[in-house]
Order: sequence, then structure tokens, then C-alpha cells
Amino acid sequence: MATINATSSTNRANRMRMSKSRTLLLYSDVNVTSGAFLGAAIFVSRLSVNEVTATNPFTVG
Amino acid sequence: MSVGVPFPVIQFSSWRNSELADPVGTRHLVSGAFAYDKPLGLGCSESLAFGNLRLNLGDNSPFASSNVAVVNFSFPNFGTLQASGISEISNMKIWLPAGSGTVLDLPGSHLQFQTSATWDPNLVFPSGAGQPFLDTLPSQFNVRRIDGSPIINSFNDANVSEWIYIRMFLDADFPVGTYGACGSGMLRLRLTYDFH
Repeated sequence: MATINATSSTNRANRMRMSKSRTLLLYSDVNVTSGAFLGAAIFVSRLSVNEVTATNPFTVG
Repeated sequence: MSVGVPFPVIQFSSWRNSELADPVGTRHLVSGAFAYDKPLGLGCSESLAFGNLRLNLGDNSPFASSNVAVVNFSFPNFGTLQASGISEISNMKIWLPAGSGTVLDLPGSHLQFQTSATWDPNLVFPSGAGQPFLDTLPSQFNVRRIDGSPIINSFNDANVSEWIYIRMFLDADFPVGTYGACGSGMLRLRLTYDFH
């Protein structure tokens, strides 16, 4: 299991561990002011922008 | 002294806003509700899709707007966290760190969100409603538990986040194309939180 190491290191980078699960990127660190661990997660998004042409309402048929 | 603490596992889910039935009862599950869409993650197939972005050459409206996307999240391994002494998750902030939303660096694109404790099917979300995603870490939490509490402390239907309604607006002269995951540029939303 991925764990974080809450040592007394004062170097933020040293206390950061990265773990990539199937879907999410997680990391954690110790908040030096509150004592809580910090976590983060990311998800991605996408958009497809299409163009449509107006239909001529006066077509003859 | 070092303490091994497990990571919270986060389950982001996408929901269909066109579904009228409130998913209450299964809001923490990945099935069981008509409104459930799919899990969200880092892959192309797991990306949150903003659909219906169509620029109409014969329409002078200033914006093309996407369908409303709905997201929530929960922490499936909370029991494991509790066993390791973690009692709650708090200070939940959703944002778009600088560099994570290069799609939005293009002029004429606007991404807005709004949180709510209620399931609002077919939500009318006009341009200017809600709030934009910040590109710096918000100073205050901006997502709560579904009942309004600022903390999540279990894994069940009552311990999910609020509904996060998101909509993309594009100026009418935005270039056509596919953006973000599976396309050009980047669009990655981040949740930052405390656990203790």
C-alpha cells in the first residue's frame, strides 16, 4: 500500500510522495501549520467543439 | 518518529444531468442510479466530457454553451483511513491550477461551476452564473459534504460531496477542434483537501 512518511523533515520535497493509481494521481504532505496531511487528486476533462451550418428554411421540396 | 498513513482513495464520478430521478441512496456508488454516468480519472475514456458545443454559423448568439456536467466525489477507503487514525477529510477545494487548463488560455473560453446540495435535473446554468475556477489555491474551502458540513468522515451515501455543476461557455468565434484529454491542450481539475 502506498504510504506517506510523516517524518520531521523540513524539506517539503522530501516529504512528498507520489502514487499513481488506476485513475488518479495522489500526493500528500504535512501541513506544517495545522498538522493535517494534505492530499490532492486530479481528473481530466475534454471538449469537442463542432461547427454546424444553419439550415435554409426556404428550401423547395 | 515516522508514521505510515494510507492515502485517501478518491472516487470522482460523472452524472447525467438530464436524468430526473435523484440518485439519493447510491450517490457514493458507481452503479445503481439512472443518472450515473462513469468514473472520472486521468485517461481519455475517464475524462469529464463537455458535450453539445456547437458553433452555429447562422446564429448570432455570442456563446456556445455545453451541456451541464455534474461531478461528485467520495472516499471509498475511509474505513482503512480510520484504522490508521484518520478521522475526517476537510478543507476541500476544487480549482484549476495554473498550467492545468491551457484550453482556457485561449481567448473566449469560460468554465463556470456551482455547488449544490440538491439534485437539479436539466439545470439552467446561464453564462455568468456560478463562479469561475480559480487558477490559484482558493483561500477557503469551496466544496462541502452533501448536507452542508465542511467535513467527510465516512463512506456512504451521506458522505459524498455536494453536486458540482460545471458548464463551459465559448465565444462564437472559438476555433473548432477537440481539446483537453484526447485532444489538444490540457484541462485538468484538481481537488485539494486536508485529512487528519
